Amino acid sequence: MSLKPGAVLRGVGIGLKATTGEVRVLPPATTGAAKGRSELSQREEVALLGAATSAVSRELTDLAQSADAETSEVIRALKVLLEDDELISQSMRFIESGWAAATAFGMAVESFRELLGGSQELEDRYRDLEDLARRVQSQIRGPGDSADNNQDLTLEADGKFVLVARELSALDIAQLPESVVGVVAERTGATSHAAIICRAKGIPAIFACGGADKLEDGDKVLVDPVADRLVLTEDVSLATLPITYIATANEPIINVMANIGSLVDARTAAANRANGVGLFRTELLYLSALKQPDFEEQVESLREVFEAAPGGPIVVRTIDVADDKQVPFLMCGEFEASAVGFGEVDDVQSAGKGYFVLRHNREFLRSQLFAIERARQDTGRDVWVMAPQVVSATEVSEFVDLARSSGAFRVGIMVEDPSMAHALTNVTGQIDFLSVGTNDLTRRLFATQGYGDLHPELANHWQPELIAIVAKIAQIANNHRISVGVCGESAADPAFAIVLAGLGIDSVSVSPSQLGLVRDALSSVDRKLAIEVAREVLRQNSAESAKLLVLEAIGGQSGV
Amino acid sequence: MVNVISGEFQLVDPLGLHARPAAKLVELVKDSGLQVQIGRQGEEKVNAASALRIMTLKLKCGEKVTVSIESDDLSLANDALGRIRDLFEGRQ
Repeated sequence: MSLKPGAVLRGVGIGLKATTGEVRVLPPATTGAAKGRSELSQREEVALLGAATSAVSRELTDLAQSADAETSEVIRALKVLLEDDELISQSMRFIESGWAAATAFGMAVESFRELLGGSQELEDRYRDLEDLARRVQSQIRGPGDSADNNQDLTLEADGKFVLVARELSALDIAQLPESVVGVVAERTGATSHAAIICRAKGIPAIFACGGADKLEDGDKVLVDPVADRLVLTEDVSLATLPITYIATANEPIINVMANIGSLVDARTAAANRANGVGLFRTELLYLSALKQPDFEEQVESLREVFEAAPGGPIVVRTIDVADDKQVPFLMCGEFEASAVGFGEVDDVQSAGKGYFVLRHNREFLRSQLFAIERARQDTGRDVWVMAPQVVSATEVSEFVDLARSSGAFRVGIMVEDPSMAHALTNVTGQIDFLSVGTNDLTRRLFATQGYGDLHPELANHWQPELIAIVAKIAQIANNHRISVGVCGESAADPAFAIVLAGLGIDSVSVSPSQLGLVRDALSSVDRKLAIEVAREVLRQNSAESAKLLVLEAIGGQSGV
Repeated sequence: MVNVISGEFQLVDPLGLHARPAAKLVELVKDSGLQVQIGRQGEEKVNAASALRIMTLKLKCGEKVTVSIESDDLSLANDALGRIRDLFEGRQ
């Protein structure tokens, strides 16, 4: 069943440059010849295997030498896998039980399949390993072997092809001929080595592309990575252009602040003209501390960061603990899931335990607040303090009381849970500012647990439901004259940052490496355009139409 | 005399202990010539000279890992442990 002209397939785009080309489908790699018992002595089989792995290893070395830095780092890692001690000894065991070298190596690789299952990332790594196995096997079996890799695909040297495959390994991409201008993979994910190499080599690609199996040789397609899609068309003008934001004003329409976690970050942020710090993640100072740092140690590390931070406010978030960042000295194992109102313990973990943990480590929270106050007084900086992961008005009051009795800084909260958006009007009288964490907010809004879940497409900040809730939060904050910022990943998407400004958000905070881009974007439009764009975005029914609308509106303005 | 020294580290790589850092750890372990075991505290350890075994631990960012080294040369072992710490804590 072939696809109609104009059909669109969705996936995850790699790169910024769109391209058109003719589809060439890479047939699935054959899983090798039938298993073979050895007809040689064990010593001969071992020698065969040794020679074959050395040959493939040399190929990898050559490939790494001619590749860019990132690609060659991936290839060197593959080489370590190929020469893995356990893989070799496992192969030896199969040879000892009478299997031929090629079969033994294949079986050894296969023995890792189950151990490496369970996530898209590891399955993508296993794919790389299988690819290595095929290369070793074809070395052993010699030229003309039907299970050889990639040779079923013959490409004219002067064409413009879009390679389509169910799965792609890192080496498939590293060895692509020049005539391949784009890549589509159905099952391989955007964090695979294959995707990393596509990015490094500047080959536009769509990974995790649903429906790619319906593409046929000869189809004319547009690879449109900026819009995360593949379109059956030769019309390159349909491509979604990345926008080059050319700053037309000296200052962005809203403040662009930095997310930092360390002294190094603080310095980088200052060097990149951040308008202050929008999120100082204090837990990063403590992740490797086995016991609670004493008061003086805390003050000293905070003081260093405050001194190095870029001019403007410094928004300090009290320690935040979650599944992916555990602070060893804080007690967080002993609580019931139901106590925080989530269904399953797993939910609680992935949702972040944040403030809940702090309530149970009140002494530490108190000492941290005192330390922040001391560092504030010592450095004379404009310090704001906020609590992470609060989910109810009660928690807000509790935190605000504790914070106000600990120091003279401004006090605020993070809004990372839909419940807090609803409770907002009840707490506006108590707080000085709000910071919206769009990562968790997006996830919890749809109760999905993150990427790779059942509905990964919902974990997208362009979803109209998320934009609507951010609009509501901004409006409440504006009405009560409370400063409101956004510090999630969404703020680092320059087009989205413009929408945020238009919705009434007062500042965005992004990682130091994203400062320049977001600053340029917010200096390339005026406030009036941002407001108009935001108003239109609120009328959209899908993430796709919202994003395209904004790209068009802004692209038109800044003359792409 | 053979001593066993061990250390506990926290992974800061957002992707966890994936293929590339595992490969670097293996290179480091092989260079040292020492017997190094790695795993979660209280769980079975694996041979740190095998990247594949390390990957099967599926260690995630923020997780704590225990590394133990068996050696009769305490200073050599301590040196290796220090390098492993740097690798895990992102100072390399």
